[in-house]
Amino acid sequence: MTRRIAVLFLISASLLLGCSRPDRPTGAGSGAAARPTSGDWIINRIDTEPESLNPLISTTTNAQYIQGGANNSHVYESMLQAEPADWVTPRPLLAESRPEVSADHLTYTFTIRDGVTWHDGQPFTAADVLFTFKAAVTPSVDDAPIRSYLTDLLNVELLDGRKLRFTVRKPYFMNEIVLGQFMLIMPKHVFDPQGLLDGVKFPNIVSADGKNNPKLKQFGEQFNKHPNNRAPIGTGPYKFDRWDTGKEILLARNDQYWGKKGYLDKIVYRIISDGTAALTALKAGEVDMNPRLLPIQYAQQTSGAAFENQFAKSPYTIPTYYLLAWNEERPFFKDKRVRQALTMLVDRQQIIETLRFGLAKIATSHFNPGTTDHNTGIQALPYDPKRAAELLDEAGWVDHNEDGIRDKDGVPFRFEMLGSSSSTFTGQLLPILKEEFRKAGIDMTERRIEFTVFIASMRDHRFDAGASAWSADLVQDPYQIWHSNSIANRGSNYISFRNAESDRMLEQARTEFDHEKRKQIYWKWQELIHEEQPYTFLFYPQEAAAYHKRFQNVSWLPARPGYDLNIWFVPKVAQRYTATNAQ
Amino acid sequence: MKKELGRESQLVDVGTLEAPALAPILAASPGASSESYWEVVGRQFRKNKVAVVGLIIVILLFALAMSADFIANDKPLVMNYHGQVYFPVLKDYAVWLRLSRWQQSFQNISYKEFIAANFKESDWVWFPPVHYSPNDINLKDAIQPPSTQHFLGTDEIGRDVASRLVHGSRVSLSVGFVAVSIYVLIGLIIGALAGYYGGIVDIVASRLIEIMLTIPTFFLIITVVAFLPQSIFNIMVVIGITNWPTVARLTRGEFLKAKSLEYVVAARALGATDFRIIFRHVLPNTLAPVFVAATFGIASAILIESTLSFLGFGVPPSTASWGSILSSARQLLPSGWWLTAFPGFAIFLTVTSYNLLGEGLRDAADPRLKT
Amino acid sequence: MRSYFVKRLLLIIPTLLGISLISFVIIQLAPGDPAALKMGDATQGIRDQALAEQIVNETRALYGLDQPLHIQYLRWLKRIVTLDFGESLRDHRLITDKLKERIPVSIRLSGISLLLAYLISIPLGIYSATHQNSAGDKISTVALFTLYSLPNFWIATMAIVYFGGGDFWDVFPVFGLESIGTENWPLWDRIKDQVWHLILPITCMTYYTFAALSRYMRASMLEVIRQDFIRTARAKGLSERLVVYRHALRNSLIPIITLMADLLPALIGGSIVVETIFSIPGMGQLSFEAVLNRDYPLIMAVFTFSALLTLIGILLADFLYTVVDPRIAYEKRAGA
Repeated sequence: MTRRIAVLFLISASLLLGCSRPDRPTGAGSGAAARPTSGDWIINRIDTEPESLNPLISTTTNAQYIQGGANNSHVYESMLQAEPADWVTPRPLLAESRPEVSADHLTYTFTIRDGVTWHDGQPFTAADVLFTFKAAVTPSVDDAPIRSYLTDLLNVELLDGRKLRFTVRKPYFMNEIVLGQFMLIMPKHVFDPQGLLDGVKFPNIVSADGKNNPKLKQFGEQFNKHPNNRAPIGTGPYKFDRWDTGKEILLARNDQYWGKKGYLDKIVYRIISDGTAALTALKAGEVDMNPRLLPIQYAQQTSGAAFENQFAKSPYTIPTYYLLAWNEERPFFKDKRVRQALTMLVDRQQIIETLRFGLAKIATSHFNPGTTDHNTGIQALPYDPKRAAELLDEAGWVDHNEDGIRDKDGVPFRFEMLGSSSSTFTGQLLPILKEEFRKAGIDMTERRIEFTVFIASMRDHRFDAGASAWSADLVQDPYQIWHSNSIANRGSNYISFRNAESDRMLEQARTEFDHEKRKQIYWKWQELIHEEQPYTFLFYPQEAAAYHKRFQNVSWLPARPGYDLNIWFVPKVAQRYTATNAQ
Repeated sequence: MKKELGRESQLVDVGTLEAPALAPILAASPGASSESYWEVVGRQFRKNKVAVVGLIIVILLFALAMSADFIANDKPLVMNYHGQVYFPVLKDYAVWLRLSRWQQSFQNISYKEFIAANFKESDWVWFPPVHYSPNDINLKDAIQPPSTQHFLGTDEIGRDVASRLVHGSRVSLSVGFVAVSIYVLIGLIIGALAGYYGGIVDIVASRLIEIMLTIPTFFLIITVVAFLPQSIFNIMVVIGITNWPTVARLTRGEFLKAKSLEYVVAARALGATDFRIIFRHVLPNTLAPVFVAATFGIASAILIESTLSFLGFGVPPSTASWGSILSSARQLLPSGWWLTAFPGFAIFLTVTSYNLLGEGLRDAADPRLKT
Repeated sequence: MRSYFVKRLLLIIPTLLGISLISFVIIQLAPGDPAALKMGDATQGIRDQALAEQIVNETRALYGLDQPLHIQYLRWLKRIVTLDFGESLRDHRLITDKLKERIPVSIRLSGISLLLAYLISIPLGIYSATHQNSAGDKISTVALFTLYSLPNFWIATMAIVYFGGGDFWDVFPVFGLESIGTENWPLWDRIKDQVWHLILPITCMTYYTFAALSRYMRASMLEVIRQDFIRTARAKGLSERLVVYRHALRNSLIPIITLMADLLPALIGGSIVVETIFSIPGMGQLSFEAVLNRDYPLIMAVFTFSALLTLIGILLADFLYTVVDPRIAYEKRAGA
């Protein structure tokens, strides 16, 4: 949640997390609502170790969950967080209130909360906020993705003790979220005790001479390898306790927390890389929760009395969708009828049933169903090979030379589909597509490559088609993926989708500050995208979690990671780990 | 050349009368009779029943691989339709060789559906024993245990395991065979030269061996896969060119040991050329560890392919291979035993028969065992 | 003989240089770029694509990738001379620190596994060779080939499912190398705990190696037994035991020694598959991730280190040749 990034995924059943219905409490405690009590631990399984717990430097999802939790409040906190009622409207966190915005939407004034202390006891001040933004734009700090969100930030000034004014280049509906929710605030006294950044004003860091300033350089070097990158000091409800490299990361409840305190004494993130081992460890009682079961585990290996006596399981949806991208620079994919036909050749419902054991819903658009921006009126194209064949014929792709492969103007319909090698799902999907397309007279070859190479190929438009996934946050701007300006210069419009009408709508939405009006634009835009089928939207995946039944107040959220351990608790009688018996 | 060989053997023949140590040289060279060395080896080999069984299994496996299309296919072998006889499997080859074309009505059709829809009483059809092609995907039938429909069950996307096993033998046998041939050949030559000549040759060859031994194979594979299309051929070549140092070192070790043995000294004294000593006299005596390396190499190449599939860098997912069946088995554990048992048995059969064959060949080639 | 090995020792330096240069080039040639990877697909709120490009370039400069290749290599070389491996691009920790965490883990795992493999395979190989075609030989042959035909990722997963305390027997722990929080346990309990954790991973790492090794041993032993000096020894009426252990064993060790060259690097090489399945933070995982993340300094450190160990291993093997077989000489060129 710290960053509203759409991340191109290695489609593996792995990297995804999220939620479905926030209204539906799950688990044993849903009936008799026990009173929240403090105590006990949770041992939560994570599959990979975070590389760092410095919110500016880390890029892995697990790091982000430990740093910011589901709603920007775990170890670190941001100035604003999402209102849990709709997950769209910002609400204050480290700020006293939402910012005052100037009429031209170019300046945002935040007032920070009084009386908040860092985990080491030092008071939290506006200087910490200023420091965080300064550090984020320092060229020698290794935070490329974060810095790229702040390219429109012209200035940050300290007005008085608790007030900060942010000046941006252009009006943009995401500005408040970028400033308030993207940035977890870091303590200045820990990361810049010498005050290296004090002498340099924000605009001077961004300007050209920022690169050559030796103080900034020195700061960057120290910051990148600061010891507290592995021992974070934040303001949140849980504070860092211990990190056993390769084994686990422990957080302890912050009893001095300024807001609503957590219940569990400790939260342990235990690293178990293998899915089978993780489920076995859960059953053996070595972890309390496995938030990401493999679909087959959810369907077949987590049932029976022995399991159900101790554990509960629940699916939850996350803001992610799987897709097939058709590069429109290739002759085959220029015609929208061809793209529609390709979508109709994919039996998405059956793929969901067989490969994901039902843990997904057919996707229809860029926006996930968990958000109000999602156009619920769009009907997914059906699986219909006959109609698909007609569409291909209409588009002129007919097998003229009778070799079994359709062709047009002497070009046979033969293309390569890229997939990431780390994704088991892709390994299963590609043969299905290949066979289905072959029956329709289309020759598809599969190629699985490393994710690094996969992205590079997509970004440079050196591909015919690709199987992938986008993962985003609930409030998001599709501009970067769909606008024709994003085709060149490392934009994410890999497929070179060009549509003047779509461009116009996306631009209009960017400066529409009224959420309802913006929603109208996006709904229209989704109809256009549905008609064009630049992607074949495959499905919105669901994750499935299994956890010990003693936990109460378990709910699943629409934002990643899909659960908020700050609010889970265990009734006194059911508590398992106490200060004395805990390992 | 031939003449020289004959004369030399005559000389040795006399020598052995006094010096038993020269027996190997006698044996390794054409005997007094007109029977050539390889004929002797062949005769010896045929005496070894177990080895012959190994050879037969290897031949059968290769036959299976070559005739895979006729054993497992969703196209009929023969079909009588409207009074006309068709050979769809053969036709496939013809189209592939561009000798023929598909009729519009038979293009990309499912024969089973076609037959169900169009066949009259007078028509008949003969399918191969396994009537699924390796990429016949039936999502509704995924993860089925062995049954009369699917003799060896189905995998996680409903492909017939029997068919994939039969077709997979192509990839797996050729991975083993080609990759190992490449590296045994390179390894033998370099190792022999280094071990026999020593000195500067050894120094250069050893550095080459060292460099190759330390080049990270996995990185090489990733790089190759990134640049070249994913194909079994590239994997074979990479396995082939990265594994020769082990064979080279084994051979070199044996040569170091052998070159000071009496028979080599004797052969040299008798004026045999280096080439002849290396390849005719010493090499057959150093093959034992190389044979082991090769038999295990074949198994290990098949398994490397499976680990690469597991990591996503193997053959393209629709290409059937024993390794890819095994790696898909892992995701289904603890169910899906048939996805491990059958390819596992196939690998076992291959490894064991290669090994029996290898040991038989070695024994046959070993002059001391002659009776 | 001594001068030969001194010469060989000195040769390690240029060889290592060559290897590091080749590795450096391969790594850089492989597609993918750590700076672009770091940037990822930041797709929100970017207004100006040119600025995104500039940020990637800043990151490249930060990683030292803005220099020409030969400068980068020379810089690396300069650092390496002082044993400074630099910092990892991924988390900016000192590479020496990262290696210090991982190498002991891998040495423990691989060390025990290799020791076991040799301890089992040498006697087994000798037994099969001296009892060629006996029932015992045949059974062990079949068993070894069966083991070798099963990929270890499969065996490891099976072991976890059946012995990890899921739905079947709760015998062994399924992740890590020790229980959590054992720092304060008595020494003996800690050792027991660690042994308990090691059993499954070590089994999965070992069965495969010893299957191959014992076949090598068997083949080589058979070869030696057939040689004339053994026949002579037997003819002299020496006991079979004495013949085998005094005379044959030494000579049959050559291929096993050759394979020992891989031993040292294998000690720190780790195993990606076993480490991933058993969640063991060892060198295999580290190097695999380094490659996937294009963490150039870390990859180079791992490569160089294992290259050095390989070279030492080879030298050691060559030395051992002369120990087991005094006829082997490196000095004299025995050419025709």
